[in-house]
Amino acid sequence: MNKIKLEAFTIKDIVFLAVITAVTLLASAPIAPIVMTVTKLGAQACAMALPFGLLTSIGLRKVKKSGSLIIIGFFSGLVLLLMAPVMFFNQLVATLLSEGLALVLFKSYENRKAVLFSAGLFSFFTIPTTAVVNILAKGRTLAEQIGNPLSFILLVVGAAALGFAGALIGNRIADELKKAGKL
Amino acid sequence: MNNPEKNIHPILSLLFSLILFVTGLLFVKKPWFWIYLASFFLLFLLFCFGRTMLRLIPFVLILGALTAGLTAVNGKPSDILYAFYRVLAIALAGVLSISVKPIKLVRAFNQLKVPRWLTLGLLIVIRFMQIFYEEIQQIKQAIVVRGIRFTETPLLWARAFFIPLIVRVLNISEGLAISLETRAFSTESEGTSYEIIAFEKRDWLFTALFSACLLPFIYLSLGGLK
Amino acid sequence: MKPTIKVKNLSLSYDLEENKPREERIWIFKDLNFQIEEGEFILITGSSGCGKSSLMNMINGVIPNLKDAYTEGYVYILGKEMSHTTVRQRTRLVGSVFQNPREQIIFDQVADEIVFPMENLGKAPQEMQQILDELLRLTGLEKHAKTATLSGGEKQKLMTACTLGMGQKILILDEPLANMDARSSEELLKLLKKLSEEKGYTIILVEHREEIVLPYVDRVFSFVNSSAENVCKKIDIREDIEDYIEELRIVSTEGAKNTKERGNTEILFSVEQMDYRIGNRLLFNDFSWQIRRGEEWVVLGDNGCGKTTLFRLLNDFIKPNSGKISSLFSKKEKRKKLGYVLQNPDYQLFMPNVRSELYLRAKSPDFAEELIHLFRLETMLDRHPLSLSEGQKRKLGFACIIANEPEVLFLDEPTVGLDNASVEQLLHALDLLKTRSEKKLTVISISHDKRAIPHLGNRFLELSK
Repeated sequence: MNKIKLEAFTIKDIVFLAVITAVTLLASAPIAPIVMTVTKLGAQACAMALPFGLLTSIGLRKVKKSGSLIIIGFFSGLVLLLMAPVMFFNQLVATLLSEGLALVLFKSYENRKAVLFSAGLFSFFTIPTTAVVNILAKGRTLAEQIGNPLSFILLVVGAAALGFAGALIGNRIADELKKAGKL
Repeated sequence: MNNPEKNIHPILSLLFSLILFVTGLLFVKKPWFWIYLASFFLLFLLFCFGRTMLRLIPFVLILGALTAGLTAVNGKPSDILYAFYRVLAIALAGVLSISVKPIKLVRAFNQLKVPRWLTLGLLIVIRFMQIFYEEIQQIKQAIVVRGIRFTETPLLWARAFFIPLIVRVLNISEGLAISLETRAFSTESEGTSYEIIAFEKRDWLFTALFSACLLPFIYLSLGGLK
Repeated sequence: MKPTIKVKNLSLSYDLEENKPREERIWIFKDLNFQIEEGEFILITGSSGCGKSSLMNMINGVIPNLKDAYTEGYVYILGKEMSHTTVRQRTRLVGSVFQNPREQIIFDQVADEIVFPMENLGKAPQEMQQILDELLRLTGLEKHAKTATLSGGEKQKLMTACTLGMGQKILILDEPLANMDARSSEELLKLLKKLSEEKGYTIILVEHREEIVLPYVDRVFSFVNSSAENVCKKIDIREDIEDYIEELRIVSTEGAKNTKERGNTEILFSVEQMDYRIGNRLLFNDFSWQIRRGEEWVVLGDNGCGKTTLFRLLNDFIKPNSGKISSLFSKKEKRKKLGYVLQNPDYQLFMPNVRSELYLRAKSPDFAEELIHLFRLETMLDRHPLSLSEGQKRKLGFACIIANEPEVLFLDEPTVGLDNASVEQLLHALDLLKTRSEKKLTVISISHDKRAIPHLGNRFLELSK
């Protein structure tokens, strides 16, 4: 069985991942306060999926190393730690799940599908972590959070679909910039 | 007034912020929640967090109104109140976390031997959110100059937005990486610290008072005085 | 005594094809040989994009460690050959100050930024404090000042202080005066001169605005066109500074006069008693101005005095704090009738190829064709705009805006980085646009380029701080 490829990160890699995280957070900043007021499980993930998918996929096309998405999740979680502490765990766990699964399946980000999968499902995987946080911290049961099952399913599918759509767009942008010699 | 030099140790601030976040949301439906809020409000006033609390008022009012409004669509009056309380609980936790100066947090992490590249990354993310806010304004102006409108040609607008944005991300991150390396930054060496972030008497006192405020409510929530 | 810096047969190419014969490779510069002694203050000059920064990057190790390039030859620093050293090792010997300080500052306060490199080098806190105090005194910066509110010149001083704090005796500064006004530039140059004369620092300054720097330097290394077929540039080393100054034809803009009487064509823009502030800085105070149709203005002034901000105000991107800016054009008309060539073409290029970029808003295919031939873009039509060189991108950005045949054209430093032939092409394109304009073309330019200023306008607005 092929092993997952592990490489050390250079300063150039870290800086790029930090900068793309900054832009990702900025892109989701206008939506965040509105989404925070909606308590429906899956709504936040759905709203953030497109920008997160798009920008993180570009990040992974540039820094094709195992752990890149986790670093993005760590950086964004650290910043969100200063605003809403539990978001740190939300981001970190989501990136661990997303990247872990992608690398188990595809071994490295040299395989384009790994990038699509990882970036596309990042936002989706915040749903289970949000559910757990809500149960532990807010005392809300899973049934309360899900509410109407049909709307919940729509939101979950929406989060995955928008995440993949964002990742696909990000990959197209990355292809074009690679052709231009920029990536 | 809040004297930045007298803030609580950054790691403690984050830890207590997390505790307040969890306990606040857990206690929202308790009849004594307002006493819980009031006691920490007084504690923060005592430790000169007044200015920070003032900064959070617009957030509480806007988000509280939005949340309460959305809940009012389907919810009972008590649900509306709880929704507003949740916003207050989040704001209370936020008082400590937003008072943390990123540089002090980074130095505290460095003292705990957290890898410097991680802490530097945090600083870069915070700093460059502002830089890219300005970059985005420039890009939007360039789009206007080319006569492209989102309402007319959304796909073209998206192209005109994202391509220059990512190019700037690439250019800026390359320049920054070179600047850091020529300023002797390395992922391998630990370096020294200009400022030591030590625990002070103020931190111990705050810890004691914080615990004194919190423990009774935890006791009550576990079924205490019956 | 060994020279501080010695360069032997140094050659650079961005053509990365391996095993390509030497004579077929396109070289930026080839077989450079020179020495720099301790305590010398050297100016490296030449047009933007000619290889100055690349040469500096070869000395400080950025090339080839952090930037890919094909190189040959040797760099010796203090007698040691540097081929196998890392950037970090070279950093202990050579300090570098780069352009665009805004994109390099990561800390909130001045003191934290200055001590950052010292922390990286493992200096003790007491030593850092001493050096910090000295640097704050030298630069005039305040310890707890917020870096976000510093002016461009102050940011550049901050980055210079960071490098000085590292203690290297060899300093490379890449266009450090770019964001500075005349007074700040003089202060920095005096400081550098003092360091070189009194403390034996070896200073290498890269700057294309020679007239400001020449009185302070010992020698000039000037990048000039090479006659060799596959080599872009060679270095011309001048030791007689007085002679060099005499040779330069410096057009003084102090004497620039408005050579034409104001006509009575319609007023396109009217600025009345305008105030505009950035943070605590009052950039415009009770400023008034009128632009009439057909006029050609050149806006002059030191860096940071508000030229680009003025353009943004006239284009409605920002609003004044008080006063009034009125225009003949409605907001909708402005988008169709105004053209604005930004300083950085990267903001304006986004289509998948040059052809679609140019034709995107071209009013007439004939004019677009003419521009393609004028700017020699025929062989590049299928290339991605971002794959072009900086000069080509600038020309393309210019072409894209004028292809729309605007009635009013704003040009922000349109000739930066262009060689003489490209400047001619650009000015010719402007003339073409003037002949095509149904209504008289109005041009407002910002420029420091003495080659272009006489052709860009005959009315001058000089802004001062």
